[in-house]
Amino acid sequence: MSDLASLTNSGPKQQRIARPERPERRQARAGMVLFAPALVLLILILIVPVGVAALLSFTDYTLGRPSIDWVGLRNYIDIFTGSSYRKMIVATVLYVALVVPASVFLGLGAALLIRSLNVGQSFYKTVYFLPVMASLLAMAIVWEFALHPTLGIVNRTLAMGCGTPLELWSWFARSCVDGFPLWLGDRDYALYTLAFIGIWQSFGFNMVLYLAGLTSVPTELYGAAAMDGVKRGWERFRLITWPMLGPTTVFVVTITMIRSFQVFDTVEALTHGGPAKSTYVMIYAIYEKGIAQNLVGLGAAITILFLAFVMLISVAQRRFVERKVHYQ
Amino acid sequence: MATIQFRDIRKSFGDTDVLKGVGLDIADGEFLSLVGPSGCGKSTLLRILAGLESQTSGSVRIGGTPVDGLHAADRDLAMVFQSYALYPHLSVAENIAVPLTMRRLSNAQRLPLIGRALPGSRTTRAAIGTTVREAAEMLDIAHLLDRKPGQLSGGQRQRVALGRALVRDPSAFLLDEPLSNLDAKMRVHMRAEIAQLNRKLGATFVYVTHDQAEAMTMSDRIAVMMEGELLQVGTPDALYDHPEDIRVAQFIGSPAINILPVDTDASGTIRLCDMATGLRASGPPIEHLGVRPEAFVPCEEGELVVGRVRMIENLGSDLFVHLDAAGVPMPVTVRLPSSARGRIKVRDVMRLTATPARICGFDSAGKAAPVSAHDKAHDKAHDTAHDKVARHV
Repeated sequence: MSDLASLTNSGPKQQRIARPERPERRQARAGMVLFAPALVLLILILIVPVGVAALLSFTDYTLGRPSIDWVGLRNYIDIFTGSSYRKMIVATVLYVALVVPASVFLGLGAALLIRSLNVGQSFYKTVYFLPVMASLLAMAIVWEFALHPTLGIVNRTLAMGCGTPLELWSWFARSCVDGFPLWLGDRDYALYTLAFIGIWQSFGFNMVLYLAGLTSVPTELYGAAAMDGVKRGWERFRLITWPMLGPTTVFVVTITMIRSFQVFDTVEALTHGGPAKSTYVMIYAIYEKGIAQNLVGLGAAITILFLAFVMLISVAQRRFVERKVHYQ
Repeated sequence: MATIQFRDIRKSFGDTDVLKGVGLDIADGEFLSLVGPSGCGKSTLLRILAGLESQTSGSVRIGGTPVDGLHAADRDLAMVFQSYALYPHLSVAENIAVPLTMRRLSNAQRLPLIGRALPGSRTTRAAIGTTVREAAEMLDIAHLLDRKPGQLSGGQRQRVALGRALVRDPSAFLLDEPLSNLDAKMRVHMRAEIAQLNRKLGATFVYVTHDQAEAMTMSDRIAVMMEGELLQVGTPDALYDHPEDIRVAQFIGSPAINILPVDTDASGTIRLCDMATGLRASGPPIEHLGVRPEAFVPCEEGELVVGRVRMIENLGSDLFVHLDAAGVPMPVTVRLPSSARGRIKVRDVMRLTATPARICGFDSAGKAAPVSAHDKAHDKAHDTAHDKVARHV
């Protein structure tokens, strides 16, 4: 032991006397010291909890019970065989598949339209950005009122269309007779209604990202395109705007995907996963199993599954950025 | 191939008049440089010609046809931008092909995937490929066709931009400071290459630059612009030897022309610092004399300027001597042959003269005015006066 101590103590010292340490080495060591607190924090608050969740997902742990039993893959088997868990995957994927393209393209469209304005740019920016700034939970309550089957402004507005040419639309005509949908209370409509609120809430954010992306497109490119014979706006968009926004689009899609995978507040406030588990999205399932029903093991397994999804998206994004849309 | 005419072009952005009535005729196949300090409106004039901006008033004709209100794409012009403006996501070959695909392929044929399957698309695309390759070979960039602009050096990007301009065989080329992003050596090289291209293609070139050396070396004619006005249009020689405006004289030539403030008395005698110069104004009174550094000749007597050497710049081929001269606020620069090396030292007194033919006179408005040699009778007085000054400095 003393040998070892003398080795570690005198070793570097002797070296220092024999040959002055290179500044790079000294800087590297200082760098390690400065970066250590961040590393420790990262491990403590990110890596360790994920590891614990991964371990718990193989147990039947519940809060307060003294014993823990190792159940192997049973929680995962439950997820992939149980019907409510299948509904969870379907609801989550469907929600993401609806919200991501809609809010990305609406965001892009709004950004392009706002950029083309001569006056009132900041007015429209503010209007579209309002839902992003507002608390979604508070907005969810507003939506709950608006979508109330009988008293809500949505159905009452729709009812005013009865007796007009709108009835040529068969869905509309049927609704005028049988009553308009319950929206959040109907399992055929609930998820779509939540997706609509999700789009309404998130496209303003995408619009701001696209507006930032648009400012980085060099205007000389549009001049060059005009000289090269590009006359129509669509051609200009295809030749310059869309490719130049590539990095922005990858970022916007990734962010929107992760955010819509995480949808929770509207579900908790408006549907509680129902009706008939049609809006039983992942984060809500984690909350319900892990917190509400105290099935921590099962909740942990869903969490791990959720993390796997998010990881997959991030890896795909990195690959995509490296391979396709990075020009400089 | 086309002539270009500007008629009384005006352009204002809000309250600022950028162009104040510019009229200019450019001949077919001519290499014309628009030169002037930054902010003089030269780029705006070029962009108006290109159709990227519209003039407030006035008209532009290309090949005799008015093009006002015509879209840039329909003017049959090609432009090279200062930043090259290459499409960063397209390869070099695709970049050069853009002007051809936009014109030769129909909207449907340009569609991704399906477009390639449409009738006629393949043969047209093959023809475009051949034309692109020819253009690339002409500019010596055929080996770069598969690269992206991001992987190219500045000089190579410049060539790609030129390739994209000439692939379509347009009636005129517009070049907006195309060399300003290159290093000094590359700039000299591309200067020669662009001038050669003009001769080879026989097309009209309109070249915008702030660098008078580029304009002097490449152009058939130069148009000097300042503060939104054309000051003078002429051959490089005419601009250099006979500037019509003192600002043109000062802008053209490096090192800059020497401007000597003078007075003209009632008899027309021009006096520098109250000393007769041996020159007289044969037109309006002269306020400034302009003498090129190489027009000065050292002399023993009868000098125009006398001064003390402040600094000597040895360029090997030439010697630039800077003098502090009496009555001249700025140091006077003299260009001497290399044979004068070692014969002049700092703080020496130098007497300089110049033949009247190489002296430019400018009146109070800064416009050129004729200067001629004074008759003999005054010479004696002038000599003694100058001796006094020489002792003084």
